[in-house]
Parts: sequence; C-alpha cells; structure tokens
Amino acid sequence: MKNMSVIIEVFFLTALVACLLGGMWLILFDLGLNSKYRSAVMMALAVVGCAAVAFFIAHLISFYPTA
Amino acid sequence: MSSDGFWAGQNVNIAEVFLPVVTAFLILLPVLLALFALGLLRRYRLWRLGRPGPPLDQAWLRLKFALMTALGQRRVLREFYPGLMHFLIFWGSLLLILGKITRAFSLAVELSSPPRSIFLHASFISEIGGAMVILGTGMAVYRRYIARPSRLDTKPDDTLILLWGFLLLLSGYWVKGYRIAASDAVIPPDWMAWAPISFLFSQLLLTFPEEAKTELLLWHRTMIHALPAFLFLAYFTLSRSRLQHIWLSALNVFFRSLRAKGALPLIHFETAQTYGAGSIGDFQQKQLMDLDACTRCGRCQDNCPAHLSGKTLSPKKMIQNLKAHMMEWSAPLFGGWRSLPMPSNPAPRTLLGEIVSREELWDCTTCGACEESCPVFVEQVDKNIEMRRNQVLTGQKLLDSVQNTLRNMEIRGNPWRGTEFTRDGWTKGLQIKSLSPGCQAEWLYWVGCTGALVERNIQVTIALARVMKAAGIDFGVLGAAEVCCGDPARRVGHELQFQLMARQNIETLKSCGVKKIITHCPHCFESLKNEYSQLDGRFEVFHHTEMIGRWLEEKKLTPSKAIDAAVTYHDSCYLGRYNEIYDPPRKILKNIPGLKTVEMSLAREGSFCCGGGGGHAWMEENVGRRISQMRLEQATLTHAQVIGVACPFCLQMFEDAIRGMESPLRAKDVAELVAEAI
Repeated sequence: MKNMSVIIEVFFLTALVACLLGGMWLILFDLGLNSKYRSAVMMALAVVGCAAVAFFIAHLISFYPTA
Repeated sequence: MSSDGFWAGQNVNIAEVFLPVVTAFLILLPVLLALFALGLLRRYRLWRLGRPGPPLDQAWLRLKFALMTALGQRRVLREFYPGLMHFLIFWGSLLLILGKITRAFSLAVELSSPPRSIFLHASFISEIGGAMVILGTGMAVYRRYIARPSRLDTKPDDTLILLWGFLLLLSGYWVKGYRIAASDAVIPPDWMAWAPISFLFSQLLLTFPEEAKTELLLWHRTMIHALPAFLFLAYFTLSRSRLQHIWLSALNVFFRSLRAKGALPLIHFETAQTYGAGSIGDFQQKQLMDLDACTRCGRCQDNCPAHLSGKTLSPKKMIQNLKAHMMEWSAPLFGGWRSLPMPSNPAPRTLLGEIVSREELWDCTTCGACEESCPVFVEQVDKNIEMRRNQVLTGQKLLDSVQNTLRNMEIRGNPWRGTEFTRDGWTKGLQIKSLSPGCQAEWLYWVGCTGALVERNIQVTIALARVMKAAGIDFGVLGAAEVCCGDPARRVGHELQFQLMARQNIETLKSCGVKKIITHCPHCFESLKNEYSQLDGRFEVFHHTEMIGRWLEEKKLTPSKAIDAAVTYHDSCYLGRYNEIYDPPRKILKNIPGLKTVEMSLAREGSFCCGGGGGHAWMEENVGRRISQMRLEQATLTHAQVIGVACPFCLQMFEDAIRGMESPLRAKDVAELVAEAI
C-alpha cells in the first residue's frame, strides 16, 4: 500500500513539476529572453526538475506513513 | 440536512492549514494583480502601435453584449461537441472560482458570518465545478490528441495548460480528501453531500493514523495544490498564453465594431496618411487586438468557402501569421521593457508577399462566414480589404481580372465588359417611369449593373417590375443616370473609385428627390443602405424580398397560379449574414401555391457562399473546386428542382455551375417565382 501510494504520488508530483518548469520555460522566452539561451535554460530547468523529483522521492519514502 | 457533522473536527484543520494558506494567498494576491496589470500593459503597448480607430461609443451596449456573449457562450455553442466542451470548462471554472472565493472570504470574516450554509454550498459548487472542468478537459484531450480535426494545431502551451489544469483539479480533490480523512476518527456522513468527489478520495486514506493524516494534509495542501495553483494563476496573468483568451475574448467582443455588418470603413483621402495596410503597423489598434484575441479554434477555417474548396486561403492561418508577424515586429518592445519608437522600427518582413500571399488575399469572397462563426468576433474581412486597398491604391500589380474589372468601372461605370445591353434597354414596352428632377415617384427601383446588363438577370429585373406593377406601386428607374453602386470597386480595394461612384449616385438620387429605394441586388442594397450614409447619402432602402413579403401580407399581391416544384432557398451572404434578412424570402416562397420548400444543410447564418462576392464574379477560379458547384451539390442533395436566389451574383454563379455540371436544377430569383404565380 505504501509503495503504491508513493509511486502514484511521485508520478503525480513529477507531472506537476514538469508543468511548473514548462510554464517557466515558456514565460521566459515570452518575456523576450534571447533564443540563444534555449539550451542553457533547458539544462538548468532539467536540473531543477530532477532535484525536485529526487527530493519528493526521498521525502515520501521517509515520511509517508505506513497503513 | 444538518451541517453540524460537516463542521465536526474542522476547526483544527481550518486553523492550522486552511487559514494560513488562504492568508498567504490573500497576501500574495496583489502580486498576482500586479502581474496581470503588467501582462495587460504589454498587450496595451502592442495594440497602441496600430493606427487609432473610431472613438469608443455605446459603452453600456458593448458591456451588455460582451457579458451576454461570454456568459451565454452564444457563438461557442453553435457547434455541439466543442461547444459543450467549452461550456463545461467555462462554467465549471466559474463555479469553482466562485466557491473558492466564497470560502476564502467567509474565513476572513469568521466562520459563522456569512452563515455556514453558504460555506457548505460553496464547497458543493466547487466540487461540481471541478467535475465539469475535468469532464470538459477530457473532451478537449480526446478532440485534440485523438480525434485531431484538421482545424486544430497543437502547441506546447496547449498541452501544458490542459495537463496543468487537470493536475490542479485532481490535487484539489486529493487534498480535500485528506482533509476529510483527517477531520475526525469517524467521518460524518454529510461530507458525502457537501463534497461528494473529495469524499470518494478520502475513502482511500482512512487507514492512516491521525498524525500522519495531519502531516500529509499540510504537506499536500501547500506543495501539490496551493503552490502550483498560485503559479498557474501567475502564468495566466503574465504570459501571452492561450489562457489569456479568458479576458482577451471578452475585451475583443467589447471593442468590436458596431458599424452595420459588412460595411467597410471609409478612407478620408484628405487626411489619411496611409491607404490601407501595407505593413503591420498600418492596421488599426482594434485590428491588432483581433490578432491577439484569436484563440486558434479554427471555426473560421471550417466555414470558409475558399478554404473548403481547396484555395490557398485559411482565415485562421492568415490571422495567426499576422499575429506572429506582429510579435516579431514588436519584439524589441517586449524584450527590453522600454518605450522604443516602434513606428520607426521597420518590420523585418514585408506584409504583402511574405506574410500574406497574393493568392490568400484575393481568395476571399468577403462572404463573412469566418466572422459569423468566430466566437470572439475577430473581424477578418476588414483586414483583407485593408490589404487589398493598399495593393490597389499604391499602384501595385494586381490580378489581371481585377485590373480589367476596375478599368471597366472607371471607363464604363459598370464592371461588365462587352455587354450589348444598356441600362434602360429592358424597360422598352413596360411603361416604366424614368426618374429625373422633373419626374419623381414614391419608389426608386435601383436595378444595378447585373440586373440591367446581364441577359439572364434582365429577366429577373423585368419580373420584379411586373410584380411591382401588379402590386400597384408607384416606381421609376434612373436608367442611364444610374452608375454602379461601387460595391465591386470597394470590395477589391479601390476605395477612391467607390467614393467617386457613390458621390455621383448620391447626387443623382438627391436631385431626383428619391426617398425610398427598392433593389433586388443585396450588394447594391448593402452599399446604398449601410455604406452611402458614410458619405451623407441617407435613404430608406429595401430589398425586394422584404417588400414583396409586405405586399403579400397587405394583399396587394395574390399568387394564384400553382407552381408544382420543390425549391431550396440559397441565402445570399450580403442579404443574410450582413443584413439578417432570412425570413422574408422564405415566407414569400411559402405563399406560392403548390411550391414546396426544402432547406439545405447549410442555411441562414451558416449558409455557404456562391463564390461571387468580393469581386469574384469577375475573377477566374483556377485553384481547387468551384465554390458555386459545391453549393449546387448541396442544393442537389435536397432533391429540389429549383434553387431559389435573391441576388443577381448568386444567380449568375449558379447558372454557370448548372451549365458546367449539366445539372437538372434550375436557378430562379424569388421575384421570378412570384411573377409566375400571379
């Protein structure tokens, strides 16, 4: 039960983080950021996203209660 | 139902979780509003780069119409699936937000004021609203990613919004489920009534111990719902994403043109700095707003006869290309946040040729189907004409057929080359008054070029004259004093030629003391009724179907001879969509004994053009299928023997199509059918 819950929540949180970072990506260039920074921004956001997901996994494994 | 159970055990959660989150939201609300103002400012600065339009008038009427359009989803609901989908998302979101706001502010003024029942109902409304949005989102996902109609194009922003919105709704139910689960050792049964969907979520979580529930509740409330929701709102307010159509659409409807439908704006040649639109900055401010307001729904494309017949033009693509060009042109403004002297900033690409091709520009028949179907009232035809005006008035190379038509109008005062007929040749033997300053009549019968100079249409003219005589109407014609109303010149962009002809006609009409005009040409009707007033030519103008209908009601006409046939009536774009005259011709047909009427699938507002408007009656149609033949096929499906028309261009186009397709159908004007029956 706990494993299943953690997997579902991680999946959910990953999708949400992807949305947040995707929104940030779109808005940065919409605000006029030069397109030459595309790959650099993509890299930075990917790192942030991976870190966030790693944190969620660690947090959920540590604190998610056992039924 | 008692609300006590609902409140049992809620105080702790509300105090420790809900209240801090709501407080944080309220503190950050000014930030959101500031971002919204910033987003609006970005747009405003962009629109201001265009030419000023006419001053705003009738603000209350505009507000009323914008609200009715938005809240009633009037145009959106014309299509069932996308209409229902949008309705669910729109009204679901509204209910959701209403519930959220009610709960947020009810907390700020203590739980019991407003009364708890409002809080409970707000909870229920939010639940239902959320479910509606999820259902609508599901329909949108199916349509966009599985059904994939050709009119939709998908950009990253579209996917992001659907996914983000869906996750927010799901997390909302999830978090509330935690709240219910953590409310007490025993969940009161009335939760099911006030929060039915979240209650189901809570059932999955009942096995957790108390501390864990509270800890999870706090964690989820802030991390997976509140924070992404806040950032979603920030994204909505600041970015130029599709989401901004929520307010842009209403704004665009508010600022829509209140001119008579189809009437083109006048160029004041004495003061105009530019003629038409030769670059993106030549468009009016409202026209730039139009580009921003387009939501890429593609309804215009699905209703455009040029697009459906395989021509180059797609109204949606044209607007989107213009929008991309506008963004490209205004990029310095958006990048640096500084006020740059934009008018001096040359556009990186030329408007005519690189952004809008010559074929696209001249494919438009000005039928108005795109505008009629647009849920946000984007005005497409005006922009096309502005670009045509620039081509024509700045002496650029035109299509040969357009050039020839304009030359005919300049030399002969009509667009028909090589006709052997004269303006008043058809009157011989009919004893019809020729109006002059010394000879006046109650009515002027405005015959129009096609009615006087094209053989097939002369029969209609004679038929209408006979009908008027039978009804005992005192009327006369201008004969050789009548010149073209100017519609073809105006629709192909030669505004100067239109104004010259219009002024000449107005002078003639005034000198002959004309007050009331009847015409059987919807194009003349549109010009005389809705456009001549721009040049101080104000007359009472009626289409022949309006007047014949009235004479039938007044028993001035009594059709007695039966016509044993079935007729399907084709709505002329300029009569129907532009002037909303749909019922009179139908009533006339129903009054003719023996005549059966059947409707085509595309009728009234949704009628399909004959292909003759916008100067196309004189243009070659070399690409794709002939629009008139497509319409004739639609008429054939009704098994009628006659296609009824009320426009000389439609008649002309269908006669050509009938010959080309060797169709057994006959095309007849409503006046001809009435003349046969009396």
